[in-house]
Amino acid sequence: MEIILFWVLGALSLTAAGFAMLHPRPARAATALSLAMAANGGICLVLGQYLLGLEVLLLLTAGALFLRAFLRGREILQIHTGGRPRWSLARVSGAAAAVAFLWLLLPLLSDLERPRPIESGDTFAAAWIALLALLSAGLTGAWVIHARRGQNGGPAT
Amino acid sequence: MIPLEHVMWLAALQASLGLAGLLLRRSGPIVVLAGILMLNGGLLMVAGLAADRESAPLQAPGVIILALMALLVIAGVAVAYAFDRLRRPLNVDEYDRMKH
Repeated sequence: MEIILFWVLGALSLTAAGFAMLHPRPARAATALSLAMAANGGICLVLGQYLLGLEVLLLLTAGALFLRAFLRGREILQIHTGGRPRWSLARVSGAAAAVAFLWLLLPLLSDLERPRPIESGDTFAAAWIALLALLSAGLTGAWVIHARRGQNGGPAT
Repeated sequence: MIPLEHVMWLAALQASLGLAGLLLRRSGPIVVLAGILMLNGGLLMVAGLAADRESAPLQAPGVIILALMALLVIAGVAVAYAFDRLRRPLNVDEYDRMKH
């Protein structure tokens, strides 16, 4: 049952991610990526990683709030840039750096697998502090938006 | 219990989709989104490993990846917004010099 739920969420996530990468307009691509992230949060919860799942969902909410408050309706998210891509050194080196990052992450994770009962409590506490920091960043953002709206005398578009 | 291989495959597919977007798209905001998608793949991999090994320390890289994701969103949107205000094009192919 769990594995079916996992793959349903996985298929949803992959479809949304594919749509995000194929759609020419950034606004819809961002919406699709939000859906993919929500599915990923669900997958984390299915895997039993409640803290990571909650943090993904919290980040998603903060991102959606940010998009809605600052960028909704702006031209920046409506620009259509189609056509064939041009290969550039910067692009290829950026992609190589991204692959290297993921490649280097694997040995790092195998180092971390050793049980460290004393440190695990500290790390877990650090993760909760990170969650609180994210929450406070979200609250501060909401307060800034509220203050800016008050200054401008109306809702920001 | 979900086998680790399934989680790894899903994470690899997501990271590959992000990499394809990073290489093939020209719109600045979508290139940023592709980077976020790649990080999402990494996050899923970390979550899968943490679940498989029942290890709390493995959640720490996940938190770091999430922080990187938030930074990427903020930096990407700020750069795109600044370019938009200066009426510069958001097509990343047009920027091939380090200066001007």
